[in-house]
Amino acid sequence: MLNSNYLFLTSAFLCLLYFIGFFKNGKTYKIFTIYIVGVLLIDYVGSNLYRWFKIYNVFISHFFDLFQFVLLSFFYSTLLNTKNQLKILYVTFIVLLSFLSIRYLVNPNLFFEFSLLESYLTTMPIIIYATMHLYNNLGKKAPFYYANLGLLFYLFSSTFLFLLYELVALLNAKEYYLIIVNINIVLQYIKFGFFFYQLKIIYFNSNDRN
Amino acid sequence: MTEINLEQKEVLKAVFFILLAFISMFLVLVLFFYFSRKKIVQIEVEKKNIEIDNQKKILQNTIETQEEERKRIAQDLHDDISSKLNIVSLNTHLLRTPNLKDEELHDITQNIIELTKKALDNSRRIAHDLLPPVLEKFGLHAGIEELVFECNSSKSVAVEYLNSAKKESLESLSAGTQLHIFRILQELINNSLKHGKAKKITISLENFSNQIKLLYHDDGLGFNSNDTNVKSGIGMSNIASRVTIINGLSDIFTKPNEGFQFQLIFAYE
Repeated sequence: MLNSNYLFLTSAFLCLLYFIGFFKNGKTYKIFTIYIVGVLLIDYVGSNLYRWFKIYNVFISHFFDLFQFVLLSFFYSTLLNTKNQLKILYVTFIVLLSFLSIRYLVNPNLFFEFSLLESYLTTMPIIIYATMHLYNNLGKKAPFYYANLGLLFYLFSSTFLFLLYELVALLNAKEYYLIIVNINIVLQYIKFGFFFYQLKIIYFNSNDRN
Repeated sequence: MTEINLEQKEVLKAVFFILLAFISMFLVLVLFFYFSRKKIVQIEVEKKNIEIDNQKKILQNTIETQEEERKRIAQDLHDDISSKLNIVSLNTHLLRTPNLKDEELHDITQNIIELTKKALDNSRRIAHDLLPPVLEKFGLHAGIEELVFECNSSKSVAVEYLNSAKKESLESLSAGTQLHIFRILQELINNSLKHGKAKKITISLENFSNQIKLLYHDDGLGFNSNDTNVKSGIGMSNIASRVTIINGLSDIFTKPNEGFQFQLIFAYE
């Protein structure tokens, strides 16, 4: 298994670099920084929860999905620019959050189970927003172009990976666990590569700054 | 038994979600490509429209310049030739006056001879201004040399002309291209004298990787290169149109009180 500690270190380094420019940059940059810092914290806490408190981290995945959905919805609300796209974003945001809260209020036990539906419902809109952002800026310089590509790539692949992981867990096919976990680590490195490149662009091509 | 069923159900559920994710992502992709294609076509159409607008502008400029030129020729003909021929005609009528003295007769004929000579000179000058015969007969280099000689003989400005371009490369230019370049230079010199109050002008031609580079420099007043009024004036837009017609690339470097520099790169056949 690839060592996930290096992944955390890379992620922490990335967060630090983004945080340096936090106050100098605009809203989109701030939201993005909060998102990557939040993801790092949730991931780190999640992976150490059992070691620290002997608690299984199932409910962390809900935090992760919801946090990602909320933050990235805000992120794309600053990037998307046509009225219809923003309307879709806001309506999805309200409807989905109300649907999920009602679901957990009616049956709180669901919060302690993996939920395929939730992870599907929270990532799919983000994938659509990312695609919209790509579409809006066809043939132009897009703000946060590489961060968007990184997100799109990771969300695309990790959704499948997560669903596969579920299937593997259900079928108890242990030999596949490691492969999936390793693939996930590689995917994350690729995602961070995009984020690092985005930061380089923000700092060295100041007219792209956002 | 029920446990196995439940497990199977869960597996089915997971498979179902994988399928759902597959289908929805595929759908996103297809929609993305569909709309992208539409948008790319739209962008292409916009680009073409801009091109057409540009061409329209060039056409409009050409017509405007043509009108200006006609006005100028009309004025030249009127001022320099018609007026003189008028007086010649008057004088010829005077010749019909009975009992003219020899002296008067001499004066009148002298007058007629002088005026006709002037009218002739002027008509030659006007024709020469319209299309220098040297340019047509001996090519661009000789044409520029003559232009420079004329400017220098006016004593108001010193023009230096350096030509290091290969003879074949200049000769291979079509007559049309040579005329465009000549006109551009005429316009530039005109501007330098009229607006720039330049005292010294340098013109150079050189080869530049299968192309010819024309450099024009004056020590005049210059102008703010961001000033759109200057750039869209008839003279400058005339130059821009000619540059477009010969498929050249031009650049202007100028600042107030720091002279004016023009660079033109164009290909030879």
